[in-house]
Amino acid sequence: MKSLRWRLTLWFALSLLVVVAVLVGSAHWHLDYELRKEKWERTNPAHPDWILHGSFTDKEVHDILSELLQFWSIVGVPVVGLTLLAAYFLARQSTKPVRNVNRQLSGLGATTLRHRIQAPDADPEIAELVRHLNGLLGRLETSFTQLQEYTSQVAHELRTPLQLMQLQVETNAAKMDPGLAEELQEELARLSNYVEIALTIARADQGRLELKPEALALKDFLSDVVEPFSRLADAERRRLLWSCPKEATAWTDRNALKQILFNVLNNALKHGREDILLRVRSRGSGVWFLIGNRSADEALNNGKGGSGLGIGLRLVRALVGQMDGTRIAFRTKPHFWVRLRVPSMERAMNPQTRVGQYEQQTV
Amino acid sequence: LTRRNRTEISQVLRVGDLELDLLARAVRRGTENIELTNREFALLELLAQSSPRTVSKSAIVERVWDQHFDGGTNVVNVYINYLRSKIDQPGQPSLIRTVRGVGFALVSAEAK
Repeated sequence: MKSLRWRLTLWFALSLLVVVAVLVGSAHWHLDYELRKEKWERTNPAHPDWILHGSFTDKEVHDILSELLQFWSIVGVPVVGLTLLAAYFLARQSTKPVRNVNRQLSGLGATTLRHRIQAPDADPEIAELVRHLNGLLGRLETSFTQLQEYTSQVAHELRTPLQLMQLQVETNAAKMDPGLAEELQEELARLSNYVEIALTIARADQGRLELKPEALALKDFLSDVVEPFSRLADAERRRLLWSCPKEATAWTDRNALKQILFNVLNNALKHGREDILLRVRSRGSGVWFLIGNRSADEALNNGKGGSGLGIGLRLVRALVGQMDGTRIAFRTKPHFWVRLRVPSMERAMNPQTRVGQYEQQTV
Repeated sequence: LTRRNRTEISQVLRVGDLELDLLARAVRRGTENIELTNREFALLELLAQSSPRTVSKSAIVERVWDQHFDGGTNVVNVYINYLRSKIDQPGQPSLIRTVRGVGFALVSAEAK
């Protein structure tokens, strides 16, 4: 019985039953005493000088008490049931504000930190808890905003010197050792890419990405996205196997989806082993992408990952957080799998269609 | 009425006997038509426009791939190999020259 609601139910029910049991026991004991020890005396109205004395025999007392006990036993079962029901109702009512607070807290993410917990009718104890939580959220929001601004500024400031360095290395490459020039260009390109990713993450977290959903025919779109990864896989004697129904059409931002698929496929290529699989299924209001490897590096399975896994998938999460109706789930054990859901054209035509309960999670 | 002179912009790039028709997006080497994917064509176009200058790998990634493509510059080597296998002729020197540490250049056999 770990749930507070059930513990409260038991406490309420046991407390009530103990009180009732004490009352019944006291009444029983007092009646027993009265019947055995006390004698009654009555006067006769017709003969005021006559006094009648009387008492119960032990057998009569035993019969009366047994009958009473039998009555208590019969009535006791529904009383216990009703007590449990009443206790459950009370416990449920008592924990309602806590459930309400929990529901609101679970809906908060990096982009919704400006929201505050609302509990207008809460008891003073819960109201105090809510006040503290809202204070904490305020401080968290301030820190998060400062961190985002700092990341954005640093990434922005790094852009220009990095471009200058790239230009200088390219210009002077002929004068340098070819191996060194190539290595420097490679590292500078990687660094520039990280800076761009950091900038995009900061923009996404601040809700400053301009996304333009459009009807996207996925077959053609995917054939363009997949091509370089298919060739890179070929170069490693691996295969990228993909399938997509001809009619599959998504309602999403082309560039954001491309960025997500680039990063996920890149992770599957860098950290996975064997073939890479990409399957697309169109079902009702959503289009599902299933991407993964049958086996993955130990680093990926440990959730530590290399440089690509951390920042790449962080970017994917930030983008998904900004795309309406889009959900993603990662699984790293025992294989690396990513399941991405984007809205289909059907959802675009009928925005009331319910989005499935498919939240971001790492299984 | 005034008659204005129009500058004809060539839509065909030529490097040796290699021809790129930018409008039709068609490639021909001598009399042989060559089938290229969109990215292969974009890469060859970039090299042809810069010919005979060398184009760095990072410039190729930036111009031919999307801004955030994180496949590393290895993807350029892979695509250059595919291009070579399609445009080069057996027994002839490769049109695409690797300048180690710098990048790649499209140079005709005569220029070499």
